[in-house]
Amino acid sequence: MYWNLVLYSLLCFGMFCLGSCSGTGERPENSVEAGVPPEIFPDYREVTIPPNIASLNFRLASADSVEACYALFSGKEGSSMEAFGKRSLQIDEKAWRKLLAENAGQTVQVSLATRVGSQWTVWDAFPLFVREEPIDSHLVYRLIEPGYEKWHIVGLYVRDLTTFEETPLIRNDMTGYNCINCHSFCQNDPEQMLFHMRAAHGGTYIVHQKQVEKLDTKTPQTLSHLTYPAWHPSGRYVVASVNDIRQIFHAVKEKKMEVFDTASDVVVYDVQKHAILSKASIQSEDAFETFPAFSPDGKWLYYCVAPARKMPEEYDQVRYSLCRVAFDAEKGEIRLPADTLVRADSLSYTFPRISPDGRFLFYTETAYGQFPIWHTDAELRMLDLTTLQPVDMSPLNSPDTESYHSWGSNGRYVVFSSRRDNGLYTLPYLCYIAEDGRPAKPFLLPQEDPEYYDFLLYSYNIPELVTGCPSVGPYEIQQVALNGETQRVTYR
Amino acid sequence: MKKIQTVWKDGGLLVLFMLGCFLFISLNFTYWFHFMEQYMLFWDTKAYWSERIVEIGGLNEYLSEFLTQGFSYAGGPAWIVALLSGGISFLFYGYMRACGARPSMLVAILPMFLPWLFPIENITPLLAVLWAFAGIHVYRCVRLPYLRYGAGVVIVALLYWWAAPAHLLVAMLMAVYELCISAAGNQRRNAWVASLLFLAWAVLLPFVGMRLFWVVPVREAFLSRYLYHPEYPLPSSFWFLWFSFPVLAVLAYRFRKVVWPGKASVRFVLAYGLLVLGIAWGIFMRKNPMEQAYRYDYYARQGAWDRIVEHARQKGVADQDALVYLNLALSYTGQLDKSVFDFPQIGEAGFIPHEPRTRLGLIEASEVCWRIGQVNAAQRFAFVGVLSSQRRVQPRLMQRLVDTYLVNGEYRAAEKYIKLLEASPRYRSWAEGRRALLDPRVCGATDWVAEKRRLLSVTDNPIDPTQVFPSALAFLLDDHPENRPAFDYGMAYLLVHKQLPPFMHYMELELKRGGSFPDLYQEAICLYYATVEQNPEAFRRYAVRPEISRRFSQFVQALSKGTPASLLEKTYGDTYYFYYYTKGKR
Repeated sequence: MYWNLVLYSLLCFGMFCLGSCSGTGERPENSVEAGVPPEIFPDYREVTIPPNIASLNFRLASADSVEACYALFSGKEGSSMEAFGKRSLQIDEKAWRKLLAENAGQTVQVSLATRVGSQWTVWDAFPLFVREEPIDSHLVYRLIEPGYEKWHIVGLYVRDLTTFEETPLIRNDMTGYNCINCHSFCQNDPEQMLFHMRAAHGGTYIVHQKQVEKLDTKTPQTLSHLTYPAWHPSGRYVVASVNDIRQIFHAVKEKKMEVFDTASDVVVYDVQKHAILSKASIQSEDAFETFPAFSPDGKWLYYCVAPARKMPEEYDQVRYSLCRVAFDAEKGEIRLPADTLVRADSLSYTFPRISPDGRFLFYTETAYGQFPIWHTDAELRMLDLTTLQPVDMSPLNSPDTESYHSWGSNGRYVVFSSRRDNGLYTLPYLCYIAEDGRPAKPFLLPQEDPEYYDFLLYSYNIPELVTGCPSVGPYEIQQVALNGETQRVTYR
Repeated sequence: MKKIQTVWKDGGLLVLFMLGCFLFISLNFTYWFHFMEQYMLFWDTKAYWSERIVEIGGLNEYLSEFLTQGFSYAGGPAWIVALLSGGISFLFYGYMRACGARPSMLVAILPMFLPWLFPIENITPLLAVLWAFAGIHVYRCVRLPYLRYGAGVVIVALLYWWAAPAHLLVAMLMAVYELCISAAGNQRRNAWVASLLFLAWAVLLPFVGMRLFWVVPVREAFLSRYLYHPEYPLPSSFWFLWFSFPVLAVLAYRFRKVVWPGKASVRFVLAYGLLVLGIAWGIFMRKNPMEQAYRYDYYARQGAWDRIVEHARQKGVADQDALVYLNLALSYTGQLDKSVFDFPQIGEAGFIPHEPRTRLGLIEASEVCWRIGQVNAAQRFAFVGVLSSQRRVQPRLMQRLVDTYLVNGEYRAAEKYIKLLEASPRYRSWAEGRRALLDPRVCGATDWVAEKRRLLSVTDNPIDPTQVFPSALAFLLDDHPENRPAFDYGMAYLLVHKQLPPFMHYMELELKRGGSFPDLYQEAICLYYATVEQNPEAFRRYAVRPEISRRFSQFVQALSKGTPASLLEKTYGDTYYFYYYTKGKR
């Protein structure tokens, strides 16, 4: 009996020890200067961060022989904190919060030293620019394997940006391994959102507070169920594309796969009347319209449009312009004609998103098409709507794919997806946007374990900043999916 | 003396069963377990341990993944399953005796025949049973009843956390144990209360866990993440196995006082006889119908292509999956242009699976695409194969991903998978070897990479090789006529489908390239110029060997005289024109 108990106790103790091991607690002595800044992952050197972000834990990019590392974070007036590790640094959260609070609007210098054998090397210090403006407290995204035609576990997750807590909003293993996609929040409000489920328990799910409504949005007059959605700021309307989506796989190494539409329209759905409004919709056979969005004042409907082409033969000749058309929220109607804001000459433009102050149009540029997630040339662009002049976005872009993006509620931060880390997995980057629209150097969403991304087998999809944690829980959504009644949407 | 006899008898039965189990797995299911090894990946990183240990049943999963590494070795699966089965039987035997029953070891062995009837995919369920018996062993070591009840509550909770659904089994075993050892009166009443408490606690725990710790569906909360999946449902043996233990324990207890007729020595012989019969039945009657395909999959992983061809020549080809591997092996051993008709061909599906969705099909598709030089498609099917696995890992296909990324020059993506495989003791050395290729200069100078790169597609096209295999091959050959694997696959396809005009189109190109023509192609050339295009001058350009030409003329004469096919087969059964005229319709 006692041997068994001893055995179990030892096992528990062992697990406890394994879980609590960290850092060596060593400070550098007799060090030499490296003369260059350290190579770290994620690259947090010289990034601009909000004062409420969780600690920026990182690892050395190439650390095979490093046995210990030490970092000193120094702020104004002597405020500082230390961090210890072996090949990576996990910063004490409490000390980090205090440091950022004391240095909001200031610069924090990070000095890193590493030890190989008994020799310490001190690397050139790098700054962290701490802004005074906070970022929205939560980020919602879908985690999905970056596969081709197959998915397995898909889930919408809410991440607290001030800590490392991640909670599922809904996961598809709770709803028959169906597909869950295209979540969208109304004005960064965690209490008003929608998302779709496809295959089992298919439908569009609209969440308001803790009430979940399940909709069948296919009508005889529209091409498909609602696809790529965006809310009207009033919360009464949702604009969405309806698409006939196809995909093909390339044979050459430069390209992987192509997602394209053979037909698409833009429609407006009235949340109160459960109806798609014909007078607010843009449906034409000789053009592809997609990826719509409302302006924050609700007076304009932005969308992408391209002349219809023979698909899939001419998939690489479809180039989308960015247009907008006036929207009358009182009557639920659009007012033609449409303005073309960014004309597709040799390139294609997609994913229009307007800053909360209505001044900037943030969008994606690619060689062709409207779904550039596998286009390495895809870059993010910004247009100042007051001057119609482009903003230089080069600090934000990389040689790899940048695609989906969204604004934070105060207009000072954006989040966007990028494949810059390994060219395969899409990860969320946060970026400070100055009042004149210029971006700072973006930074990867921090994680508690600096090696988290190395072992991650998911892509972050559709990152959306929200001002709090949605109060609806996974089990409430699951109940509606499994047992709830479906509201059929009409077309009027 | 009597005790020694009992030990010898029961111990002997157990050893015999373990030996039988070893033989059963070795002879019938080794390749199945070799195949299933690909669907688990053990990482020895701290983060992985932390991730697993907070899951429901995570520790069991962790150990299961650790032990599954042993499936890679030749006798690994047989040893592991035999030891687990023996261990469970031994503990079950001890449990029944602790309950007051006096069963034969044969009774304790009986449930472990269930996995023979319904083969398991992995050892996770067996390990969960072992956890449950370890739990009940600790439980019954506590003598004081109320202390034991308290320990029972803790054990059920711990086993839920570490090895769910072991908690359900241990609760049932505890309940049976309490009822068996309790005397009448108050003790019996307490036993009932404790039993109901354990069962209720075991059922309640998943709901408590769902509310407090884990956001999971109910079935996962009860069974743990990987013991429930709609695409990979639990084998029936799981449920039979689960309930067989308490049921057998109750029966053994109920009939504990029954005196079996006959002499002890007769019963002794009978017990051994029954066990030997059971083992023999399993070994000879419970063959794995997919054994050949899994065997070839294993050989393919080892690169032992010769062994596939050799085995197929001796045993024939049992199914489509085996045929796909065989044709692949013929390609790798340079025999596809000579020996493809030595084996029964079924058309396109014998070369590559059509729109694969199964685990084996996706691996085969990736293997064939890799062989013919369609690297993007090989990568795509490898990726889908990884996603299709229950645990979203498939180290063999992850290796393929590494290689495809290296060939395509996507070094960062290759490094991602190298790092994942480096974290696994089983694949570490392979991954470390590949790490050197992350240097573009080293990679470009590596023979196999250079060869693959030389044959990469130049002309983009949306053709899926698993949907339109010949078109995919045609694109590859248009870009690189020297792509011999694609050429041989293409010609084999055309010959199997008796499409002589397009076959001759490629022969014409090959002629211009100064290529050589194996006997099989020469026979087809003879046939073409005899039946489709009467052009002796064109025919002469191919320099068909005189004996092939003469033999073909003799065949034509015999055919025109109406010689029966059975007679023709004796003389010409090894020729393409015999296949052309007699096997299948044009």
